[in-house]
Amino acid sequence: MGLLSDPKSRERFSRIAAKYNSPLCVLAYVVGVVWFLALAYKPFNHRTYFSENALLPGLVEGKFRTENVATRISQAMKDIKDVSKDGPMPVAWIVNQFRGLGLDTYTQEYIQTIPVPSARQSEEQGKEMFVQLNGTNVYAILRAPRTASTEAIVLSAPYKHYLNMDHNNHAFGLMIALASHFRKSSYWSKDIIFLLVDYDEIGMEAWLQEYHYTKSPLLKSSPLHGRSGSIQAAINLELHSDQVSHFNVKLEGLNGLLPNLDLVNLVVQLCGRERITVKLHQQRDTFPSEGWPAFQQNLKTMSLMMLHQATGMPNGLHGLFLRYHIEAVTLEGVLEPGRSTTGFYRMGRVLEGVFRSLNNLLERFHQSFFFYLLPASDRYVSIGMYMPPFGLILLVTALKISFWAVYIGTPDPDPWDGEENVVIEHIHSKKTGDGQGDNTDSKRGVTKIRTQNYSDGDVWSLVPVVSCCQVAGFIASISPMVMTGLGHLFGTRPYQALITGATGMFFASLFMPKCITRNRLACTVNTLRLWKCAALVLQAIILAATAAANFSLGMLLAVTMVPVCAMVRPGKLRFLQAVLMLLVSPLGLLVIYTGLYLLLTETEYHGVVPSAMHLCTVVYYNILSGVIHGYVLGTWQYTLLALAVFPNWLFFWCIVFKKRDVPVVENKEEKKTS
Amino acid sequence: MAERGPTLLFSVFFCLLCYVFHTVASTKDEYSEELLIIPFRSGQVYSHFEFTTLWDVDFAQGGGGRYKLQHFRLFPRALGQVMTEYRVQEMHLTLTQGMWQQDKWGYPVTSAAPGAELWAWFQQEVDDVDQAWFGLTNALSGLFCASLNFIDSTSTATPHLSFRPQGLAEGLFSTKPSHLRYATLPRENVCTENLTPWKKLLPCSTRTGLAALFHAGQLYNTQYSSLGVHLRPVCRNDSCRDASLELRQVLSTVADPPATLNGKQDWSMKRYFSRSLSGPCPMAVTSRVYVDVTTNQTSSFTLKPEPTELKLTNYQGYNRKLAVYDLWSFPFHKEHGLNVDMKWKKEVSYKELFPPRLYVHRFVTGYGQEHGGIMSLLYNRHPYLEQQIIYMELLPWFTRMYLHTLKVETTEGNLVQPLLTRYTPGRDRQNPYLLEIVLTLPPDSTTRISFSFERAFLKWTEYPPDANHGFYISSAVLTTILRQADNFTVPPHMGSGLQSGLFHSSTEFPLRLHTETLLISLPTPDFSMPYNVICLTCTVIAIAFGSLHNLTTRRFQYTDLKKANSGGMRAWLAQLFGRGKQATSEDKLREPGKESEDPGEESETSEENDYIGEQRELVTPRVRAESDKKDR
Repeated sequence: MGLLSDPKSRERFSRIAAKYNSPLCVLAYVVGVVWFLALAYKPFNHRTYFSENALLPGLVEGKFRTENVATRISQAMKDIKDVSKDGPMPVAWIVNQFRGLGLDTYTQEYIQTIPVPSARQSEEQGKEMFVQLNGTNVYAILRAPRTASTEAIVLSAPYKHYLNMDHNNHAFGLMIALASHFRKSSYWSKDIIFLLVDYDEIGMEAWLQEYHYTKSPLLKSSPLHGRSGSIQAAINLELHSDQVSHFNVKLEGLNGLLPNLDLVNLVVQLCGRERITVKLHQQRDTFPSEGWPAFQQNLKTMSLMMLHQATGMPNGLHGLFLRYHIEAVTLEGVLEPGRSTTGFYRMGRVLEGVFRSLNNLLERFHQSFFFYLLPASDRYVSIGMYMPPFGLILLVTALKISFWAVYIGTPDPDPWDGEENVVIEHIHSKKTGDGQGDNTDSKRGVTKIRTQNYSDGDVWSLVPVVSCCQVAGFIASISPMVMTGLGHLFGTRPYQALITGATGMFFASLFMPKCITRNRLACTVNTLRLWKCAALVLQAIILAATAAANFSLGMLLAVTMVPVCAMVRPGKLRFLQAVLMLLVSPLGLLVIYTGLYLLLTETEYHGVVPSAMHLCTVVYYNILSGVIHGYVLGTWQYTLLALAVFPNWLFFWCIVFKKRDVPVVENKEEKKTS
Repeated sequence: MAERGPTLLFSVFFCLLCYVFHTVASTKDEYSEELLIIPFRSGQVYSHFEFTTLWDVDFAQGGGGRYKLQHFRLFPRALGQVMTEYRVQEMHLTLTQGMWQQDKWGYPVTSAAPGAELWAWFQQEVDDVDQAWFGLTNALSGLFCASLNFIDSTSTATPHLSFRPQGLAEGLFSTKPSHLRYATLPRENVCTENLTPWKKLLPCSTRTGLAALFHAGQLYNTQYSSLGVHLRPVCRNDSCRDASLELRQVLSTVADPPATLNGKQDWSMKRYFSRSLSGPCPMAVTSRVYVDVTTNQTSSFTLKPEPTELKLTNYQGYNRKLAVYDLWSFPFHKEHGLNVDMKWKKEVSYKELFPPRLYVHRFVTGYGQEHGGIMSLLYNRHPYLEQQIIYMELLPWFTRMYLHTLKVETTEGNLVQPLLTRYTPGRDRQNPYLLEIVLTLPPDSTTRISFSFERAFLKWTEYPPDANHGFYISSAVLTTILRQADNFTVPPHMGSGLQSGLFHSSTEFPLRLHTETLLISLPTPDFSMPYNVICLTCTVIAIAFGSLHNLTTRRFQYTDLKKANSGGMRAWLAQLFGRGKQATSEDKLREPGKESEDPGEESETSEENDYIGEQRELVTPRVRAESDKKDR
């Protein structure tokens, strides 16, 4: 308890931390990483359980029997698609399908502006500068007979698939089949909204924005004429065929938000009841759930989840609901050749079970976990379990901070340039000769003689470097849009301009240390220590805050950045340090983690060059989507990287290339003394 | 004498008795029961029961005497006594499950808010209206098994414009709403326990007559079900010199046949009330069933049995065709009961909805748990007529309304200037927020009324059970007088019973619409983890408080160690007790002091604390004295 009030014991603590600093750092880092990886191993995590008793999963008898409707409708939609050849969504036909069931059916038209200049150079310049997407969402509301439309559950499906842009007609068929089944029952206590979304994410965002009447300047939408109450939960459905071998459950949402674990459990449990395999990120749960192969598999699943979550981009339409505090998951039905398959009947029964359980809910999802990692579909690592290892990794930074803080005001133990030492001695002797430099810090028990020159770092020297880094970060955050605007004037292709904007500032700022060194800044050993200390403090704050908002992003940043940044010091092995620093730069990390993701997911290996090319393409698209999603959907990953992580990294980069400007010091001192 | 005494007494008593019977007979009362069945185009079937008791008793204008309802015959005594006790002039209570869907079903005969809604006018002589109001709510709560007793000042309001008396009222009195109280309970669940006491108020109960159709299991398995009790004074005759007391008991349901049957709208009493009618209530003057067959122009359905009468009405160019079954003239002996049965030839073909001329929707805007907003969309579909309306919004205190954010505009963005805005700000834990706006809706337009509110943070005891379910905001009320009313059965303004409403020739159609109730979530603490919360909070406080307290309350000052140690008995004692430690500390202190042998060197007491911590109490006062001396 005396740590705060008692400087003596605080000092003792920091002295220990300083004395055994490097071993402690290594220990903390290794223990942290190993502990974290071990969480994927079965004995170290927990089995999922239902926290919300009202869900009563699987308690009711499934009565879904309209699978033939699903087959008919999905076939009909396929026929329409074959005729129209990738035309717009057949709105009138879809409306008729819903209305034919007696549901209140509405449409919503929207125009989303994507702040990217359209690729084709339009003649009338300035008028249609940006890409615009018009779409129409169709939704139908099944009014619950016994309540006053105060609550609702959503069953949504994209019109086309997320990645391959294939039609999602099977999901629509199943949706209509479920609607016709649900319509017959009078036990619903929550309205059910069936929503078919045009242009997946953008359409979903348009609908949600209009439903909650939160307007964004980039979106114009026709008003919704029918609404229900507050949405309690949502299930998004994507089916790749009418026979599926497993459901791939997608969780990661916007900005790393996750749905309540109870909802995930519910889906997993009900799939299990209907004997449909559930996979997370296409990873099957291992059967002998202990042992090395199982651990590897679980670790793989968990890493994939973290890599997905760290991007902050939703991997399904469900991800957009999460911002509005609506718990949602995506069920993706995948057909894997050679596996036993399941038809509409059992899929329908799973969804019926899910909806009836959601119908039982008295309260919003509030129990169970919102922060978790899943190594397998029935195992979880909660926030209480994964935060301590993360804390250990951050402890490395904290230890380094205390180390440097203790040594501010002491001379360099092993100066790397003899000449400098001489100069310092020279200054010192001069000063003692004047009889002024007697402000000795006796309490630290240092026997070496110190001079005014060493007493403290120059705090004001932080101001220019930190502000330069921040300005660089700010420019990086706005440059994509500026560059696309400029590129439009000069006729470059918008995506290239955008990428140039996003990465240009990064490459430009690599030369920043040069500019900074030219400034006549006093830079003694202690000033450098102070810089290092400040940089580490900033880093610790940024990482901790990031981990609180998006744990995976924080963790992935910490695992790589913390050891390198802790080791960085000016002068020695400058080239090696520079290489390491480049690796942990935001761009380097993006390449590393994209590579890791490809390594974990791609099964075929084509050789070094094609793989590298592939990696580059994926990185390219990642940057693109990161920037564009930031504008359209409001993800903050790019902004965070540009405004916080990148300036911090740049700070360290400056430290690497910083030289001790002894002559400057000397001049200064001489001026003072003379 | 001894023999004649009792005879005289008896004759006097007899005369008195006769008089009493005479007076009772003179306060005439009559009872009528009616049922209106309307098949909607949207596939649902609406059945509206109306039981009217008219009692020629001047309840309202007694002229200062004791208001007393006595000698009940058809009028329910249980209700009458409550009305007498609290001197109620007019009372309207509705208990509703589900919501009336205006854009699909048009207008109901009597509009009701989801949940419970109660409003009452008290008589002019009532001094303490609030007390009477709470007495009334408690009495009604017991009478109808509803949680009306939860109505308190935080949910009660006095609207100035929206709820004028519906019956007879003196001019000045009716414009001053000091005797009006209005409250809603949107969370109220309505079910059979409310129906049972309600149907006991009927003269025939459910043994015979139309009320025999009330089968609770069927009534509440519908899309909408609402029961109401409306009490008001009305004119006794056309001259309106005397008043009568009118009690309307109303029950409406909307069944959805196509959902359960294979897509057809087939409806019959046996299926939807699980029995047929065996005869009229013997007390009833009129006992009728009306079926709206206007939509049957192309004989798309058949109606069985044959109605006793077919009536055609026509007002403002709108034709209405009604099949009437008069239970008094219906040949029950031949037919084995009356089972009104509609059979459609084809399945329901759902078309685009044709919403009525004026309707309203309301919803919550925004997300998050700090701020929010409410927006109402008021649709006026009339191609050329403006519509003047009164819009009333009643918000609980925990949604703190920001009046400056109130915005009334059409969807095209034109501002609509309200003719009148009445706003009663709420007070935390005391009053709700009440907003009444009078405005004119432009023809063929949609008007948006929006404002934002702040969500209050409740005390932890104020949360209801299932706190995470959310909090209800009662429905807003739109009051207006329609100048054109197609397909709209207006509850009779002056006359009583459905008949006068169905076959009227009025040009004014008073209309009240209720919007959706809203469910909002307030910031809710995690009630399931009080233990964790307590532990965590205590730990944080212990850590932070202890250290901070220590830091902030300790006084730092300079002392002269040598002097402090070298003088006085106390210092000597201190030295004695703390010798070992003292020695080491002195060593430590002296070591760095070698290079600066300045005798005036001072060091901080905070540093000293560690070395002579144990003797601090002894040393410090002395030290202080010493340093004071030195200063002088």
